Amino acid sequence: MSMLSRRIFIQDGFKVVSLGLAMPHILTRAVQAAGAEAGRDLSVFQSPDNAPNDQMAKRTLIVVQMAGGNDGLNTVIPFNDDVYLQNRKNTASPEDQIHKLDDRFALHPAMGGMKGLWDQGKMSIVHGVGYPQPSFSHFRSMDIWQTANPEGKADEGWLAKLVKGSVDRRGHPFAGFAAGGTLPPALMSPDYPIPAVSNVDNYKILADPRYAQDAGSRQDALVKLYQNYPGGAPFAQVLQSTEEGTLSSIDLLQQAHKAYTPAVEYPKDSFATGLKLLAETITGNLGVKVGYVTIGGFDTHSNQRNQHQRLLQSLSDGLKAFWDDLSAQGKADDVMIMTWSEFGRRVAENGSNGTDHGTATPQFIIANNMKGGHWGDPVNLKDQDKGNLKYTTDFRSVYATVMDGWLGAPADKLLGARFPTLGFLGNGHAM
Amino acid sequence: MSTTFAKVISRAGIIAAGLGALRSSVAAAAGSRSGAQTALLSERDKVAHLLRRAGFGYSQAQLDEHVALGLNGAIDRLVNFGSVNNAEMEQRLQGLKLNLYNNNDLQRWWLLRMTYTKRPLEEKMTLFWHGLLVSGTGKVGITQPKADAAPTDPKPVHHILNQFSFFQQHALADFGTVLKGISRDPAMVIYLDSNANRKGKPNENYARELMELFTLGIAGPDGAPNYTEQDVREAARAFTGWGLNTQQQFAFNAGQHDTGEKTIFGNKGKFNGDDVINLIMAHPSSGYYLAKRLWEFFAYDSPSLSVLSPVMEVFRSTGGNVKEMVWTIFKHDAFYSELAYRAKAKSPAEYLVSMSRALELDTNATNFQGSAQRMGQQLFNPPNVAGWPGGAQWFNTTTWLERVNQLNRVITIRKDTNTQPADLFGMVQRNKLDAPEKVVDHFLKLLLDGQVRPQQRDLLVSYVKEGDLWPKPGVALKAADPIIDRKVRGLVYLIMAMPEYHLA
Repeated sequence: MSMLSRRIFIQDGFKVVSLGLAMPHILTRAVQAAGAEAGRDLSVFQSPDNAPNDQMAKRTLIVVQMAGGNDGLNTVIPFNDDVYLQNRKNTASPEDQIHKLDDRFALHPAMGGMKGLWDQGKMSIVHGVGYPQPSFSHFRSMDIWQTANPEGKADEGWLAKLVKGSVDRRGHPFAGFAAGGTLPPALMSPDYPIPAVSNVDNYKILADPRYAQDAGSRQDALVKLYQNYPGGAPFAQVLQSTEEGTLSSIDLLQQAHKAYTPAVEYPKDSFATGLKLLAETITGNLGVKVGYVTIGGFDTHSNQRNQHQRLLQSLSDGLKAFWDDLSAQGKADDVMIMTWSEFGRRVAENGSNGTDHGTATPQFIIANNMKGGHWGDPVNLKDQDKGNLKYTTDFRSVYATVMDGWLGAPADKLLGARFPTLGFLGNGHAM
Repeated sequence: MSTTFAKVISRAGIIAAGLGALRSSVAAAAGSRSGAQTALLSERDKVAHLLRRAGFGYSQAQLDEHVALGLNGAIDRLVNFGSVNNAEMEQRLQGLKLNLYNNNDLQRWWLLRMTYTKRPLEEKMTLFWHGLLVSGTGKVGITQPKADAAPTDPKPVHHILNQFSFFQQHALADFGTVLKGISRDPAMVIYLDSNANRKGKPNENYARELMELFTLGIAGPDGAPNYTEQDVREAARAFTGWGLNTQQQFAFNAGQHDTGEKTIFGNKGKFNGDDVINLIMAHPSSGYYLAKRLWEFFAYDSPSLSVLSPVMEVFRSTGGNVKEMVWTIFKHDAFYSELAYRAKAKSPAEYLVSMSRALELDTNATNFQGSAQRMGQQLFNPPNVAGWPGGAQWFNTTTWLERVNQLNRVITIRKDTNTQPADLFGMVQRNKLDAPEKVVDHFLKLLLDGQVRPQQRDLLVSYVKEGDLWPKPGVALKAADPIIDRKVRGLVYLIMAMPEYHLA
């Protein structure tokens, strides 16, 4: 037990001598804690920003979370690399099926749609993205990415911080928008409600069908009951801002929903359904600065091949349909897509035809008028750290590039430090 | 980790702030509470609080019955549930002839258990284990009986239902026993790939989540790491060969077990899986971790070490006796403190079931499981291996809408083959509520301990009085009177939609 003794914090019959406290749930806690007395400015929830006069103010960033830890090496494949080939005998795709980008890298066979975007110069690959002292825990690593903090310390998500203060000073209900019934921590804030929507048909408030005439007074009373819930009481901020954010967003979303007709047929899966909903908010001019959608299932510990194939097909086909739809609706110039995943996988396969938790993994950036191609240094498979890749690009450099160059937000301030930006936005954009 | 990862992975769990941030947020939450949020004073309010936490809420009669036992008697009744006859619930469930191989029926079945059980802590602890030692139907699946099977044919193994039964049978068992059992549980073996964990080809999925999420956490109370990456890899070796046989039962495959020496937490030995669990039970952080998880499940988030210490001491002195730990929590002063009162967000299951109990619904819960899913909780299929993040994450625009809309559906039922309408008129009659103020006060007391701001009460009274629908003195109330059918119904909707009712 000698190795443990440094952690023993109990002495003298259970007297606690260390006051150090592990602190899970701080985000939750902050969200539910007090502070509402500061007063909420209701004027910020009024009308969408329909007539911005500046190019950047019209822009939207779509963030795609590939949850579970995507196997980067089998996504952007270094198909000539001997170390890759030796370590991936059971999970690698056949060379005659992969989509070669050049003499060094190829996309997974399922990614024909995204290969098309690459060929048109509309897609960049950022290589080797990670952070120092990588965590192999899904949850800690996701927290780090979602808070843009190397220790996962924050009381709000990085995207919430971005939309609430820096790209949307006027504020309105749709500055941020999560497709799906769950709000990702990246969009969580204690006092700024961001809608999470899974099904627009259900996104309305029901009344007593027998007494339509009572609906108004019942809802009016409900609003006042929420306003009169004490500001410092438990969960006051989240409950009040959720109620407010909901009631202020229903009508606008319903209008956008009625007006929208997709220009292409989307795949039927839930990822594509989420993308379609995001397209609806964009074509409806709801003023979405940051839209968010998740595709889950990348934690491929066993029998990876089929699962990974299905997921990348869904990713690529969904994004292709989304991009074609936006292009046909004349909106694609104002939209950028950024993918991310909490980590890649170990270089060597495990014994179950799968891969265990690893480190650096690539990100995809999609936009019109961008400088497509490879960004960041590719990982060196010969230079491993206990079987893991060494990252080459800090994820906060990617964040800084999109915040600064795409949305015109002060990245240094939001990230709390200066990170070098990457060149994928080219000369046509402020860098 | 589940390969399903079906929904957004959203656990704010490890978002750690410094001690200062924690203290200030907790202090702010406690210090700024107004008079309406004072500590629990009456025995009745303590028992009501206990029934919300140890169970899923109460009807008026259920509350009265427990109040009559006194707080200590009520705790005894809840914890010693083995002696409580639950035959009535079992009969009701059998009468519904649900197909537990059907995913929707399976979820309804559990919601109905929560609603009608007389042993609420049994179901609540099962929910605790389900959210701690997670497996889900998304990956485990439910093998369907053959379409042409005769009624006498053996049914396919129902892994997730068997796991539920294991949790129920071990609801208050020793932690080590639970861990050794769950490590052999076929649903878990499938969910975290133990089946694929073989000698020379370790799969570390189970070993990692066992330490990170089930028993230790990444760091101990002093912030120091509880284990290393090497510990995870070595523990995975110790569990090699723990798999399933062709009958889908647990089987130890000696040929696939790595018998070599492993080093775990600094200890060397030819460890197997049970040895890993013994090492975990002896690890200084396991008692802290379980005490904290139980405390956060029943009482409130981020307890101080001094509050937890009696619960940890029970873990230490009893070798992880969960029954004693839970007992200690329910007897703890802090469990009834201002910091605990309304400090828990009701999960969707708790919101639905507390509503059903309070309204004394006679329901078969048709579509209730769909509503729970839209609120963010699919029973038997948590979003990922970390379980439901809970707390503030139960609330977003979609889930809040589903809460108030499901409430609206339930409260406006006037004729329905699945759910009998709530007998609001009967409640008004039985309690002799002969004025708007009395109706408001009665339901505020029943549903919210009467603990609301005077302004909120005034709003509710105005709502009921609006339109002047109350009969003149001497005129008897009838069920169909608009004051009942419209206003009392609207009143109960409003109270159950209030922020306070979303909290337990």
